[in-house]
Amino acid sequence: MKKKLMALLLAGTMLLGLAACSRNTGGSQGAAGPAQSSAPAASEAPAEKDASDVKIALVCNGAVNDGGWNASAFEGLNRIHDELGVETAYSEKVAIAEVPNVLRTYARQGFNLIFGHGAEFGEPMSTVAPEFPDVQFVAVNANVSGDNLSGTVYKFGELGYFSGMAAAMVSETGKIGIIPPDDAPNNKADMDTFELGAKAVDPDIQVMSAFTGSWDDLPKAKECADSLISQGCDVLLPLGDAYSVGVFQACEEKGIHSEGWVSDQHGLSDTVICSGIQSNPDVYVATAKSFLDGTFTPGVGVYGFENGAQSMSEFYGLNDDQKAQMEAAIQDYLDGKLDIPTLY
Amino acid sequence: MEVLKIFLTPDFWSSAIRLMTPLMLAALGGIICERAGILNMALEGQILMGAFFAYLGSYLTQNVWLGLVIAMIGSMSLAVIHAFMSINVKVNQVVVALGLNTLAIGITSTIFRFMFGTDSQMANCPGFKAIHIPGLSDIPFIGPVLFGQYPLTYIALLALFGISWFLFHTSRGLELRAAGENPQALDVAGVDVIRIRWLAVLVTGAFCGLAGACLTLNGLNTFYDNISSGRGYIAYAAIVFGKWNPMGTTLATLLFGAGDALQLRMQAMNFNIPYYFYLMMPYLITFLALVFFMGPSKGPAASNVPFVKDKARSSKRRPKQTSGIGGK
Repeated sequence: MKKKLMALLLAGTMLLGLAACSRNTGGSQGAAGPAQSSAPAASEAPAEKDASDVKIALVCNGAVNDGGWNASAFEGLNRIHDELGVETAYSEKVAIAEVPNVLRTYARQGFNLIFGHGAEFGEPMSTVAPEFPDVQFVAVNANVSGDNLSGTVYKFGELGYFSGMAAAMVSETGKIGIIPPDDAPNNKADMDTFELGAKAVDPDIQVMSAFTGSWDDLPKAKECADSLISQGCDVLLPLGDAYSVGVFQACEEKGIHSEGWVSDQHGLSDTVICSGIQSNPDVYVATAKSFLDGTFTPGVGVYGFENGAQSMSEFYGLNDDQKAQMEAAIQDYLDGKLDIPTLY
Repeated sequence: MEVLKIFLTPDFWSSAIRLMTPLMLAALGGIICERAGILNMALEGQILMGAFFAYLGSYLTQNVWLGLVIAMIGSMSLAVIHAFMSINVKVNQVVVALGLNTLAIGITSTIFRFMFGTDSQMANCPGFKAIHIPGLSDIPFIGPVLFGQYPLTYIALLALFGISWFLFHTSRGLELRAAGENPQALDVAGVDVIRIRWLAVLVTGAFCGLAGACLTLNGLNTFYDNISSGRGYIAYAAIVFGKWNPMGTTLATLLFGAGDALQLRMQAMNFNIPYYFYLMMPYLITFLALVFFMGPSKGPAASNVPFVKDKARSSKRRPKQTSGIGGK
C-alpha cells in the first residue's frame, strides 16, 4: 500500500516536471496547438472574418517580456492582431534544436505566414520551407531567401555609428565601452561602426569591449559593465536585450552614462543619453500588410534609416550644439554625403 | 605587463568576491547535503527558485530581509521534494535532481509571467546596499575589498566558519558525516539517519535560497528567466574540487570568481584574441588547477545510496538516545 502510494507520488512529480519542461521550452508548440496553449493570444477576441483565411505565427527563442529584442517582435505581432484583425499565435523561448518542429507544427495547423525572430531562424527555415510550399516563412534579421522564404535585414552599422558619435560627445574620460553578447556579423558591424562614429567626433577616443557570452545573464552583464567602468569608461552601450538592465544598474551606481539599444530605453534608466531604435513592429506590420493585400514577394528586405525602420531616439543627454551636430550627421547620411560601412 | 596590474587593483578583488558569493553559498550548502549522503545536483534549480522568490518576496513585502526569508522558503520547498524523493521513495538522486532543475525553470518562469505579464517594464524590488564597515572599510586596498561588500558576502563568510566548526567539531557534525559514510553504523548506534538526511537537504535548500538572493537582490533588483545560468553546476563542481571540505570548496569558488573577474578585465584590453577564449578562462583555470594541483577527489562513501533500514531493527527497539556515537 505504502509502496503504491510512493509510486503514484513519484509518477505525479515526474509528470509535473515534464509539464513544466514542455511549458518552458515549447511555450506553445505542443500538439494541443499553439492557438490554445499560448494564453495571451487565445484570450484575445477572435479575428475578424475578412482576414479569416490568414493566420500569422511568431517564433522567438527568447522571452517576449525581455523589454528589448523579443518584446519588439511581440509588439509587432500584437499590432498585426489589433490593426489587421488577423489571428495570431506565438511561441517563445524555443530552443534552436526545437525550431524546425515548432515551424512544422504551425505550418500544419494552417498558419500561412510564420515569422522567426532572429538570424538563427534562417537555417531551420531554409530546411522547413520547401516542405510547405503554401506557407510563407520570414526570418527577421536573416539574409535568406527562397520560393516561400524571405529574410528581413537591418542595415547593421547605422545605429552603431550614431551611438558611437553620441557616446564620444558625452565622454569626459575619452574612453567608451560596448557590451555585446557575441561577435555575430550583425553585432560586429555595429561594434566596428561604433568605433568609427566615436573617432569621427574624437580621434583619440579609446573604445573597449567586453562580451557577456550570454543573452540573459544579468549579473554577468553587470560585472562586464563594472569591469569596463573600472578601466575608465564613462559611456556604455549594451548590444543586448534583457541584460541591458544589468548594465544600466552598474551605470546608475557609478554615476556614468549609458545608451539604449533596439528600443528607446530611457524609461528603464535615467543614465540613457539616447537609444538606437530598430522598429521591429514596423517591419512586422509592413510585411503582414503586404501579405494581406497580395503585394508580398519573397526575398530579402533591407530596412534602415531610409525607410524609417531604424532611427535614433531623442538625445536626452546632449546639449543643443551636440544635438544639432548629430542631426546634421544623420541628415548627411540620408543625403548620401556620409558613408557608413553597413553589413547589408 | 599590463595583465598583472589587474591583480593590484582592489576593484578586481571585490569583483571576484561578488562573483564568488553566490557560488560559495550554494556550494557550502551543498556540502552539508553531500556529507549526509545525498547527492545534490539540484543546486541549480534551488538557486533559481531562491533568486525568483527573493525578487518576488522583496517586491511584494517591499522589505529586502523578508525577501531573503521568502527566498529560503522558496528553495526549501524544492528541497522538500528532493528529500522526499531521494530519501523516502529512494529513487535515483541524479534523476530527481535533474528533474527538479527543469521544474524550477518551469515554476519560476510561469509565476514570473503570471505575476508580471508580458509587458517589458521590469518592476524593481528593494535590494541590498553594500555595507561599509566603519573604520575598516577605510583601510586602503583591503578596506573596499573585504569590508565594503553586500551583507550576503558576510553571511557567506560566517557560514564558512559555522559549517567548518559544525562538521568537524560537534558530535552532530560527526553524525552528519557518518550518515554519508556509513549510515548502517549510525543506525545501529541509535541515530535516526532519515531525520539527519532530511534536515541536511533542507539546510542545503536554505543556503541555495541565499545564493539565489545574491543574484537578484545584490544591486540588480530584478529577475529574468533562468537568471542562475548554470551557477548551480559550477557550485557542485566546486564541492568536488574542494574535496567536500568547506575551506577547499570556498577556495575553489574564489578561483572561479577571480578567473571570471580577470577575463572580464582582460577583454577590455583589446588583445587580438577571440572572445570565446576569455569566456572559457574561468573554467580552464579551474580545470587546470584540478589536474595539476589537486589529487584524486573522492566523495562520501554512501553518497547517492539510499538508506534502507535493516528489517531486523524495528524503530521500537532503539537504544536510549545518546549524544551520538562520537560522544564526549
